[in-house]
Amino acid sequence: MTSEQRSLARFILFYAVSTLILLSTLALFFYTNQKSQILINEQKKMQSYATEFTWKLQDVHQKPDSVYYPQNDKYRSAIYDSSHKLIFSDFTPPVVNWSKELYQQDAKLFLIKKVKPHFLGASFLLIATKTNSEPLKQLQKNVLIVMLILFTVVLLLSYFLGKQFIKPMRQSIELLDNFIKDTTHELNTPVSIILTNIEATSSIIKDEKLKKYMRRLEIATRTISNLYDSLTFLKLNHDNDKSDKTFNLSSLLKERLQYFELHFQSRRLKVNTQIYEDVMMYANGENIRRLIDNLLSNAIKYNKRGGKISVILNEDFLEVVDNGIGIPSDKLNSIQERFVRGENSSEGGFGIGLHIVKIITKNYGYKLEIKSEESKGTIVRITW
Amino acid sequence: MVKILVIIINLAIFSQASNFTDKCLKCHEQQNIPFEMIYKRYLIKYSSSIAIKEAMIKMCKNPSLENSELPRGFLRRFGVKDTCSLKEKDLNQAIDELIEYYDIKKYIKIKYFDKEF
Repeated sequence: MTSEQRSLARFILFYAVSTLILLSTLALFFYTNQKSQILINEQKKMQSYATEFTWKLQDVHQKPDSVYYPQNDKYRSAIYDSSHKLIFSDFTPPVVNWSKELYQQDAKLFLIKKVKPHFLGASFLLIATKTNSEPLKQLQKNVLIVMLILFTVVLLLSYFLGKQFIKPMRQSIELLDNFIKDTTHELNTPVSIILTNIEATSSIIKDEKLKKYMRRLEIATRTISNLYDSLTFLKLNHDNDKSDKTFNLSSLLKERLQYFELHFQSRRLKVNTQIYEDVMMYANGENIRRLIDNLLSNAIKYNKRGGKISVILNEDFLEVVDNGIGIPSDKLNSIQERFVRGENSSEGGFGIGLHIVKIITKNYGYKLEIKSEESKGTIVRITW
Repeated sequence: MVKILVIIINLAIFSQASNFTDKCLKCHEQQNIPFEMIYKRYLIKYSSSIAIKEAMIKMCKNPSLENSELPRGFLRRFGVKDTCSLKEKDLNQAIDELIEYYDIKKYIKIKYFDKEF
């Protein structure tokens, strides 16, 4: 995932989460409001029935002979005297909560109404009905659907907004990429010419002082050449899996150590090697060479003059250890990213070395471990 | 044997004796003063049997316009009843019997009772 994609994903995540919280709050408010409205409507109906019931109770009270207790299909009722003692009911009422006028219990709604005058001795009338869960279910469904639609719209909106926000960032990256592409293209030929001529001249120069100057020139040019190589790799991508083959890693490592010999000498670095013989590897040789070059180049670049470098290779891993400036702990996690460099920027480079190492190890499924302590050194181990 | 029979008959008669029906209702019916109407007037005002009983005892012991629940027109025509001559215990029993006698549960009918609700 590129930093651009990460920024976009982060933006969408924050936008979506904050909007979801806002939408949920609104939905909850709306739902609670509608739910209480449904309850109020039901309460009104129950109160209306309670009034009707009281009238009927009055009729029953006034009739001299046996009469029927008022009943309704939807509601059940019970009448209580002033001491809350049950007088009569058409169902088995539960223990009544006398402190509330309206309350819900066991999916039933109860309404208590005071009766005065006390027809049939009734001081309180309890009206009960089963809670109709259908309107609430419908409400929940509607709220959920609206929320889903709104959330989808918000997600799409955040995607387009995010794209707009990171547009300048993408343009900068494209600009940088184009610059690197153009620069590397222009660098290729002169660097090759300089290197060829240095090699040709070195063999005929006898003067030691001149030879020293030529070595410095060669080191500088090889550094440029390595940089060119790395930048080309990044720009022209690295899908070279088709050319994987078995090769001798031990020989390649020794060859690359030889290649960097001048660099080691120029910085007076002591190099210790523990290289197992004939460690074979199946991969693209060019990529592994690039990986080794970057590890060694970093170990040289970020080492102190007269420092130490240890190179260990066995059947399981390759490890390059230096006692250089190290990487600050806050940058350890991001050091493998493109254009990210350690603390000391005076050492040159673009911050792409470890990024290339990361790409290559990731491509082959190798494990890349970096341990570092500022001012003490760095250990980079690649395990396969 | 005859003695035992007499004792049983006496016990049966004694156990069925009612202060309310014998000493209250009988007289009220003769005077054509419907007791049910009186009871319902107490019921509509006092609601609970305890409160009804208290109000009735108060009226029986100390009959007055203020303590009576009968309509004013009725009281003006027939006057307030005399103080009850029943003993405290008998009066209590008579009122308990009255409340039991006119208990609304006895004459209210119901079309259906919802056990499942």
